[in-house]
Amino acid sequence: MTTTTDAPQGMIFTDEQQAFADAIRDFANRECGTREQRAKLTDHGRELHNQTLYNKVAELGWAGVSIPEEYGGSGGGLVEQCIFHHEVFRGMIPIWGAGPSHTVAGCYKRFGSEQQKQETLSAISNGHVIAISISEPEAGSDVGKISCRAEARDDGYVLNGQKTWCSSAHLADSFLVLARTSREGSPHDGLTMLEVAADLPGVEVRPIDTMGGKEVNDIFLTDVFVPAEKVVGAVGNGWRQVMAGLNGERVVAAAQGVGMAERTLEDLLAYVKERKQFGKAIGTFQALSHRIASIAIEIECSRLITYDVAARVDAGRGTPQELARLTSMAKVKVTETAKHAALEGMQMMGGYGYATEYDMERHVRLALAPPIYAGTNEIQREIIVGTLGLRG
Amino acid sequence: MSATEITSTEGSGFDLNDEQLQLKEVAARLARDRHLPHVHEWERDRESLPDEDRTQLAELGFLGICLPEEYGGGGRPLLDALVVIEELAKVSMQGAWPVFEGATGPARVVHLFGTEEQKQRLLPPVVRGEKTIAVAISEPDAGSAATDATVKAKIVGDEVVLNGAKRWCSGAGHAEQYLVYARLGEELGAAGIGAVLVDKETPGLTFGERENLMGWRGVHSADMFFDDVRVPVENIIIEKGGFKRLFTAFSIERLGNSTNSLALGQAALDKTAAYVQERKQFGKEIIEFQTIQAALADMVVQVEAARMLIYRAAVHAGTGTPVPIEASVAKCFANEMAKRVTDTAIQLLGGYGYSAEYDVERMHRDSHGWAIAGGTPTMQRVRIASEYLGRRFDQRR
Repeated sequence: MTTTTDAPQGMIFTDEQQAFADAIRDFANRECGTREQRAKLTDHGRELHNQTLYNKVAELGWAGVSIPEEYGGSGGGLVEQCIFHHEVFRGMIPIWGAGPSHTVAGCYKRFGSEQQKQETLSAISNGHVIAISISEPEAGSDVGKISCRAEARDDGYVLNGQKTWCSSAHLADSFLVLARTSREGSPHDGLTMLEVAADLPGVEVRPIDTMGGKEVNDIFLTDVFVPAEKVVGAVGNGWRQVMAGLNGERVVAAAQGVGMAERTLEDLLAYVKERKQFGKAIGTFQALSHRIASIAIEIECSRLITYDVAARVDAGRGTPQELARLTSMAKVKVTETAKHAALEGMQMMGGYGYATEYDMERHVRLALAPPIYAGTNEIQREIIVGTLGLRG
Repeated sequence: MSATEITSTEGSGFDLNDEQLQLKEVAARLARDRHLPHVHEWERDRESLPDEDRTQLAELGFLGICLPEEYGGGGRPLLDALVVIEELAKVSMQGAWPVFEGATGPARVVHLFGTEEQKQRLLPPVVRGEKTIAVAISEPDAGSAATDATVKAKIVGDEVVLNGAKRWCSGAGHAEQYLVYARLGEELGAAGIGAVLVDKETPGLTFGERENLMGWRGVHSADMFFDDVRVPVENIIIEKGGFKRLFTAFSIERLGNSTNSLALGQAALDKTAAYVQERKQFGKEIIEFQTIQAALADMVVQVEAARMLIYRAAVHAGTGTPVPIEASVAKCFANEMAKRVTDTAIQLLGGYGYSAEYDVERMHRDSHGWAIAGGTPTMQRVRIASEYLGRRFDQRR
């Protein structure tokens, strides 16, 4: 279907950006275009990340897509980052660790010291996975409830507590942990970002068995000593630093959703064109074809809002409120579209949609998570509500 | 947990009587005491209900609950079976499956259309929990278009010889017997199709590798291959041309299917009701937020509406068969209800909903299977329009 393979809004994509999208698409076709290739790279779907493949991505300069060139990156902006994640998801390239690493890169770009940037941004550009850990069992949507402690001692901090839902921690060299250094002031004050190496004594990463497979982890921190130079940004400024990265995180989640939805539609179209019942391709029955048309419409809207917002954020076009509203809107719109497309795809493919032998059931399982992560869609709506002046 | 399951259907004409309430209680207790402790293990190992547990279902009279008393059954109305299925399916698919098969599945086809000799021979082992009869109907190229079935059943002397392949047979490789829909004559479409009962051990019958499905981990599913499989002609349950009459039996099965969807919706609602009153964010239980109240209310509305549609069809069926349109309406609504309600449950439980430990993700995965099996909602809509208007719509035009 031509509308899904053409660049979204040609007026936004420069030739370079289009070439970048094409290059990732070629890479995906070459490296993981077939089910057999993907099965091999993911241990038959059990893994979502293949480090050897990610190293190749890094060699191409894409792991540092939006990291400045002096730290080994390609110096792109949010649009380029979106193109990357969009195509990675569309191509089902199993490099799950890329998403969190890019969120982390944003934090370092904004708040890291020169030395931290040299170390960590370069590591990310080189294909190292670094995770970020905010949620706790009692602090999900309500970040102010974070209770994981970081107590100042000697020349550093001693961390104690439990973090949860940390994406890719099991793949990561280290993770940025949002921990409480003080109980003074409002609940959002007193939070500090620290980079915790995964191999430090007292760190335990425990994978959580989810519908999506190996994605997220609990992290248990017991008397973990982190040197003071591992504080990223200012002590007590952790929440504001997280907030500063949220626009980017939401737009990237949206871009991933666009890729996910496009792939779902492509797989669905291939099936309904080939599958015959009652003597004709099932995609020609209105009960299916009009629903598919609706999905295609939603995907087109998703693509437009995602790249429009990404370009606005890059250009700083809009007030902080407007940008926050738009990035939340994009995240909601796209993740709900991707989920709807997958649920419909499974129903239309019948037993073939349900069997793990085909990709559709995987699309469903993976599409159920994005409305929950990176700020649930309920929280996104709260953000939108706030920008509309409706918060009580 | 203060969630109230609305079981009173007072004034609706669908009241559960004392006996049904008691059945419900017994089934619920069995599921809680005997099945619940094993569900995670069964799911992890993709196991069906162990034989001793199936025997227990038999001893409680659940497997033959709707089969006539002269064959050892309970002779009870369809609603009784559905009440039992709901309670078992709220806890596990494994526990409900044999009752679904026995009370609303192929055993009912034998009951409704079999000869006296066939009923005498085939039904008591089902009632006693010694044998489960599964159904083999879909084929690689005959899914929604079931009457395109190509498996041949040729009568040679006093035997029927089967050749061909079936797909998506739930229970394949596990059930002891199969009711196989096959072409008994040269006539095209439904006119040539009948049904033959085949034992698992019959020479020439082999099973494909077990399918890996997103859900339904407690039910085997596989292709079945028939290579000169010979069974006595006495095993022809439905003569050729009898396929059309089967819509009555399929309507029973649709209500069994719908009830499994209902159970998933109710169980997901129960879990959600507990969670939203326990989980605190922003200093209060999350149910204090209107959006959560509305989402929960929508779950309640949908679950209750599904139950009413199913009960109506079942009450009208009595000990007989449902009105087809009522069964189709119930299935169409209940299947989609379960998918939506379990999806909402995942969303409201957030990360916990997505993780294996909290069960609602399993319920969601299972809910899709019920909407794919037994005639999809898309096909039910075709049936509904057709029945409602008294017209036939040719899908081939």
